[in-house]
Amino acid sequence: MGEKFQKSDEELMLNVQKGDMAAFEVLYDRYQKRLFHFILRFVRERVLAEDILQETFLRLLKGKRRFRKDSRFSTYLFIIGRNLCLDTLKSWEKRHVFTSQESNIERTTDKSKGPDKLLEETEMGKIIQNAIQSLPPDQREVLILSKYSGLSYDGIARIVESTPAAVKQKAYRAMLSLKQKLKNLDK
Amino acid sequence: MSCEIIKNDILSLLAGELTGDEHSRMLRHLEACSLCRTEMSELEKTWMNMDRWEIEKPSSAIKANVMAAAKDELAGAHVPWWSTFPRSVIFQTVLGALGFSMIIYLIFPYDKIINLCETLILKSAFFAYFPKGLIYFLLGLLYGMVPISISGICFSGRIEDNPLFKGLGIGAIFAAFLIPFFIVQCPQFEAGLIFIMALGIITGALSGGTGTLYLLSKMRTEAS
Repeated sequence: MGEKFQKSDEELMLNVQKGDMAAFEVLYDRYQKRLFHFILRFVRERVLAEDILQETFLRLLKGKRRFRKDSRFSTYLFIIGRNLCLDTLKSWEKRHVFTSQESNIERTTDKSKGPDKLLEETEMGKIIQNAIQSLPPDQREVLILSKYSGLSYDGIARIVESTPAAVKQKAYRAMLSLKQKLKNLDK
Repeated sequence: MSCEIIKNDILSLLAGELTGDEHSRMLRHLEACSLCRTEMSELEKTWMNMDRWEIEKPSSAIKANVMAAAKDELAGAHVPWWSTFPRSVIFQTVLGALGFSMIIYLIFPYDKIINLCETLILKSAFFAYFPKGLIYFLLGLLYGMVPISISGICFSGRIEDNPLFKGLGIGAIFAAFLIPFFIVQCPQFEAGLIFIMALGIITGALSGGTGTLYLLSKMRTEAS
């Protein structure tokens, strides 16, 4: 198992194609947090995000033979996740109305901090969350991917089916908007 | 570098994506341009503030569900036995071996090799020490071993897994290609000696292929 940690994502995925369970587990552990953070920030509902996370990895497994060895694994995985998010949101919008503007995203609670500090951080987190959520969808998506997924702009461009230059511009405009909205945060 | 170009790359700088030259150019511009420097500082603050939107990791039940599904899915993953064989290693090495052999043949064809054997054998001093068959066998061994070993060194790719098995495979394929060609080319010589030489080629090819790949894989493992 130790050797597997030294292998690249692409090598591990090729092993998964041959039925290597341990390789799949390493990939899961490497990406579950990053991918979940992206999905949750995208769909804003924890239960939904967990379902999508699970389904993303199941689809990865079912379609394992489609992965080509010259592809980048992180991009491949995030494309599956993003497409699932979009499909899920479309079907949810048809069947449900989001009545609350606040999302169901839970916060990390650091028990070493006092209650006042926790409350302050919770409030700040909510402000930032709401500011990001109020951005146009395409800008929000690109900003979330560039900040929280650890992907390169080339990878993000492939995921959102755009060019790296266009992605950078969108992310820059998103940041400018966000900067305006968070102007008073540190005062 | 103009300010417009810089603005597009500010986020790349914050995300740590800029390479050496790009990074240096960006820093030089920021040192010289106060407007861009101010903008950079403000965006950096915003970028850092985004970390305050913290999220818990997913529940452990997710992993359990995914692993259970993976077990079923991967247990049924039927991998044909030939797909685990390193086709690229075999293909490259056999091509290489055939190529070398053809070059050797063009310079020094099989019948010339056997004539050389005959000449050596007829020298009574040589013949006194070495039986005829052994000389043919040794020459066949060299003829089988040398091209496959050189080819294995030049063309072997990923050989960390099962080098012995792979070596046997490439040796066998090489011998299977060459032996019929060899026999057809040398009908005028004594059949028994041709057979012994062919045995030498087979042995040389198998041992050369196996030995070369095994040694290479050991050296690469130790080097890493």
